[in-house]
Amino acid sequence: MNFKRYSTLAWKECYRFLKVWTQTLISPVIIAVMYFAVFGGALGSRITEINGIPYALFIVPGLVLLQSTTNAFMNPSSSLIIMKYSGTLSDLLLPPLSALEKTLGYMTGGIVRGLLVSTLIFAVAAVFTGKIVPHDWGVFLLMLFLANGIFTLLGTILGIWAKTFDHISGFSTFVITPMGFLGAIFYSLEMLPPLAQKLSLFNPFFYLADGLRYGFLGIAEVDVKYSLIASGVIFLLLFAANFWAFRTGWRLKL
Amino acid sequence: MSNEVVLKFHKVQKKFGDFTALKDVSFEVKKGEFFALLGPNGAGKTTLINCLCGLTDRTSGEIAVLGVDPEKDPVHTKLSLGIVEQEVNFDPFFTPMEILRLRRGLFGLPADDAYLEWILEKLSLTDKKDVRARQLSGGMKRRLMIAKALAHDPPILILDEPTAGVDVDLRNSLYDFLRELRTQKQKTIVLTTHYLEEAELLADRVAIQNLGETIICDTTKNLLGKKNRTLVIETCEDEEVRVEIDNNSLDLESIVANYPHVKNLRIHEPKLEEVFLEFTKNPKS
Repeated sequence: MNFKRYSTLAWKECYRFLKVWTQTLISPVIIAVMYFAVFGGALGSRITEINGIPYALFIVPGLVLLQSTTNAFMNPSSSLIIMKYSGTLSDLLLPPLSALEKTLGYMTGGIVRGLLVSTLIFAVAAVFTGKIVPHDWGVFLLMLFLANGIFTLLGTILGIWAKTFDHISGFSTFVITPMGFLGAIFYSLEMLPPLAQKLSLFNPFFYLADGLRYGFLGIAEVDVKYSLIASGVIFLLLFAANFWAFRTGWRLKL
Repeated sequence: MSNEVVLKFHKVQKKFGDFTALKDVSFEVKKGEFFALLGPNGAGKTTLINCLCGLTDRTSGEIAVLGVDPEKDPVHTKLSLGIVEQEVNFDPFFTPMEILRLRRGLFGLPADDAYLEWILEKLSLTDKKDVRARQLSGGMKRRLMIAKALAHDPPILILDEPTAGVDVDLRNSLYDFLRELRTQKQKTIVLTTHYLEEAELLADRVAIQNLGETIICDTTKNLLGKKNRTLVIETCEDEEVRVEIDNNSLDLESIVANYPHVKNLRIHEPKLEEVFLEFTKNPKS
């Protein structure tokens, strides 16, 4: 592991999204503000509390996750697909970057973007709700890291696999967005029929949202250790898949 | 130029499914040499370069860079090679200077702006170093490709058709720069090109590749010697007669005796282009 090579790739991935910061940082915040206004303001007056927490506050962790993980996913996936379109994939293959350096470099770029988006949306949420300090800093930070890490690793493997922009946007539209909305962001599991409750337990996004909600608000629908274990296992599996793809040159080499 | 072999290809094969892109490529490049790899479109030149630098895996055969197999020690190999790709490609988000700094970092090397400034100056890109790369003209983008390949200061530079689309003035300044890299920086240079006069002008040795095979590899002088000179006889009737003559002896009297009304005589020296065409059309020559 050469730190210079890793840190250059990580910086390149961060520098790229910072150059278009209005698209990558401001746009998700504007979207989150719209959600707060509609769901927290208009609907929140009708749904007063969930598990003793005001509705506007209840939806904050889920909204943060929805926006930050989308951005974490887009960072490596768009970077790789742009490289394929512009013919600059050789910029990744010609330097002596190891599989570990590539995996960590892309992961760092996506996580940094996801965490910056998270921070900005939490700051906006603080204005709407007045809540600033998380309930459990350790769980809060770990869940943010795991959630953004999982979606960055997912974005990287999708970027490696994809041949067109449609592959990336299709996955985002048909998999990530439904998974996020059905991951108990805007409601409690108790509000669902029994079958839907059981199905939700197979949705990885549910554990990310529930774990982060515990870290931020101190309430959870399943024991937080299950959220941490499920998220940790998914993270490790995706990390291994990324490492394997870079090591073998799967869908990257000619 | 020393006798140390820095690049070695031995019976290299590459197959893409049923298609064989490289059948049997074998040649060596020596340290400090200016080497030209020629061949018509589809001869497998770019595939060979891709096998060398790890963009694709060879099917069989041996490749060695400074005595090391690129598949066994890719770090050593990649640090030794600077590749100027045929396609102009660059990250549109960054400026030329940023591209070069990132390139050095991706090779694990510390920042060296003085060296990068020198490259940009030599390639007439200094005044464009801080503009977005997408704003550069076609010729500038080509030169930026060369700068990228040199950013980590490799001992071996591989140029895959570097002058396509570059105007004559810039092409000449590029030739001067390549000669300077060779003499002052002791670089070994391998060039693939469609401009055969370019290879004739620059290369010490030439390999001709056709249909995935190395047909011949020799010094430029020896290759030119394989084609006889031509005596061009202009008659008083304004006819032009071409007679192939032996390179070692010229019996002018007996030739001219057949043409009583000679107005002018001149000798046409063989060109690399003619040698190339002869070998690629008739590989058994």
